[in-house]
Amino acid sequence: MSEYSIDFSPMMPAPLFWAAVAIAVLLAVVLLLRRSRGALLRALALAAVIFALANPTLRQEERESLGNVAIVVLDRSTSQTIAGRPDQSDAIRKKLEAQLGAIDKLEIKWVTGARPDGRKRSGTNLYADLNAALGDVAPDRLAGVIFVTDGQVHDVPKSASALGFNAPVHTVLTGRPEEFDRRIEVLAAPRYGIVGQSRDIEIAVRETGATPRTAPRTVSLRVRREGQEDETLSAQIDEKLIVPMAFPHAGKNIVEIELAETDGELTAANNRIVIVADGVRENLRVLLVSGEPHAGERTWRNLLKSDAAVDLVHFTILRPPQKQDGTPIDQLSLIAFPTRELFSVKIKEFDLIIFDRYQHRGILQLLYYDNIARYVERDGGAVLVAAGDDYAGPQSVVRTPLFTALPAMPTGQVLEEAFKPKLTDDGQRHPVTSGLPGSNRNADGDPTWGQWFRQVDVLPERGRTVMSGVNDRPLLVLDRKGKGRVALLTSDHAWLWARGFDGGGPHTDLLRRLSHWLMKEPDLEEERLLAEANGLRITVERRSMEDEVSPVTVQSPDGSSTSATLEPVREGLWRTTIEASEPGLYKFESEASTGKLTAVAHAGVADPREMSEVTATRERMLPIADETAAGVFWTLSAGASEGADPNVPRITLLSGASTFAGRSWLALKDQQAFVTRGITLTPMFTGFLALAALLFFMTLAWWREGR
Amino acid sequence: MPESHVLTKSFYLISTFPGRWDGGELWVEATEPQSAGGSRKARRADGVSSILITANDFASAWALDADNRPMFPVVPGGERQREWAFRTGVNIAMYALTGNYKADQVHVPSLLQRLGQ
Repeated sequence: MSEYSIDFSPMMPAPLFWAAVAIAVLLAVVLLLRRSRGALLRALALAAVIFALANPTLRQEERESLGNVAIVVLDRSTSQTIAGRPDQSDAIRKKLEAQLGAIDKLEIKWVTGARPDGRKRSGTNLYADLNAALGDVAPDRLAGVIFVTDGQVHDVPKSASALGFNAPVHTVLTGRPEEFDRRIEVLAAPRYGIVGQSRDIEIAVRETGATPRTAPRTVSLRVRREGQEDETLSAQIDEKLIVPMAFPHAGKNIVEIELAETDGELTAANNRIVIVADGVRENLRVLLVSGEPHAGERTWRNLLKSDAAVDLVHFTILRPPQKQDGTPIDQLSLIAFPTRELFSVKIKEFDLIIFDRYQHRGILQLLYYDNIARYVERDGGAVLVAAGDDYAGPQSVVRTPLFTALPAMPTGQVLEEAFKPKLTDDGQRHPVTSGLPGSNRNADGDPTWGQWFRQVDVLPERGRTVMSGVNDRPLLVLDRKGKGRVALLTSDHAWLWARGFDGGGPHTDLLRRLSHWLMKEPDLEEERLLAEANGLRITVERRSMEDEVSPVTVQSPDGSSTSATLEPVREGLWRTTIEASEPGLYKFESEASTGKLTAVAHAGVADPREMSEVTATRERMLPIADETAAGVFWTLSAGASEGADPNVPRITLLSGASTFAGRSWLALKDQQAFVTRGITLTPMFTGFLALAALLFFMTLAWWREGR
Repeated sequence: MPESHVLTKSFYLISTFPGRWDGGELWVEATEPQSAGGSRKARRADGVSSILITANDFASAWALDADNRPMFPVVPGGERQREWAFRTGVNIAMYALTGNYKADQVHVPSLLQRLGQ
């Protein structure tokens, strides 16, 4: 394409040129006023001089049209996945493709916007995606933007001037007018709660769009809690409803509330809310009974005292009842051991009772031992016996009614020789002992921690031996008894590790894990199913004492179930990763020897904003469309069926128009952008041509004068 | 040593710590201020003094010969002082074994009361 134009580039500096023009005009005026002969011809001669001085040039440009660019932003947010909208937007895309493709020299840029990746901030942010796409499009080539969306866009700029280009911004809507939807709004939800207590969730059922007359005003809600039967509640629209949330265990507690689908409702996808809150355990109460002052007592005491989660009640038998001398009682710093209070009245208040080198010696009535055994078996309590040589002796607690709870009986022998505690095969896997620092065997096959010197020989009757000592005799035996737990440590030399003797050892880790396992810390359960979501990726972990674990049943948010096989990672640990296809609550279930294990994980960032309003609307996109003289178009009429063929407006390219949309058409603005490939300049009035013209006029003037 | 130190009540209730001599001071390790105590070892967490210093010569008061007779006279004197010296020894042993256990006993009644709630 060529363009022609005439340029002037005077032969002298501009002020001189304009002075010459002024003089010429003045002379011409004087000549004409005096009506002298040939005045007109002289004026023409002057004009020829001026014209020659002005140096007119013909400019020929070689231009190449750049063509226009149209950007089509397709909304792929979650709200676009409901009620036949995916098919609808695909159909719209096809029609746009055909229409836009028919326009000459129009480049089409397709942008997929707001696709959920489980990480981005909430809502549909189509303008952010548009801005990203504008990065490599020259604003003067942009003929227009077409959004294909349901209209629920959360980042519409306040004014078109913020857009940075001058072109119409059209919207082609998916969905239909007068859609209707119900959802649950969370008014208040707890973030944490104390285990065993309950807190309130406040919710309300909201509706948007045009409610059909047939829709009932009373709706039913299904509440699903971990480990409980589903519960059905009924509620009124817009009425505040309080749902109690129980905290049955520490860590993540999840409640799901689902609103029954109403006929004619757009989607049921936003009828489900998930509340995740942390269960916090109340301080654990530990009763430590030291049978006599001994070197290991302070190890136990300091460990439990420094544990922020534990309230310690400690008693040391400083003087057994048999040892009486004449010292007046007011000179002794002794208090009575409140046995009735501790072992009868308030026994259930304790989470763990530790007998540290405790011997019977008639301190407690036999009835109380019975109480303790019952407390473990029926009330889910826990007893730890840290035995010294006393356990093998005649005053051993084994010779009390407590023996029914104890997992191993003494042979009567006390082994007093140096040995290194070792983890048994079970111990390698058991959460109490697995991975204890120093347990790795060195070249001699021994752990690297320090030695102990005393062990009571026992015959295990129940439970699991996780550590062994002299000649692989049991050192630490763990057992579940009824609802409760019992542990027996057959040596009182753990304090040698605390003092750093022979290199020391992980006494803190061992004793803390042991006491917390006894108190049913969920992290230390032997059979555990864990699910953790990171974005849309869910890691499922299974810890077990078994050699094999059964597959895990995965229930997706849409209710479909699949089975996942776990891969062994190391001894006692299996793991697999699941790519979630949609965000939501995933439920996991697996069989274990101890019963059914369940876990839940919430995949993806919960995007309440995205799914809160899903009814298609013109309102949000209208202001920008009005400002840019563009339009917002429905593609389906109210009440059209979901699979109906969408009507896409006719598309044309207009230049110099002031409005770009009508009832059934939309236009793109022809920006007529070009690049110049070359310029040819041709002088028009210089040299002999100008001289000839000048001579011609001068001669003509003389001739006229001479007549 | 502060007046209310655990040593005064770890087994016997005592207020002076005589040995062969009486009247000398008993020194314990100062408890470190909390801010500086961030890196204290775990076994010192109960603040038990690792050293006791006195001019009262405890060992001479405790020393008995083969016939269980005291080897040195106590000054200013009397079996009562020797008895207190022995009690001091018992308290020190209890202190080493039980740490600040006795200091805690003060709180036991309130702890027990709290349990029921």
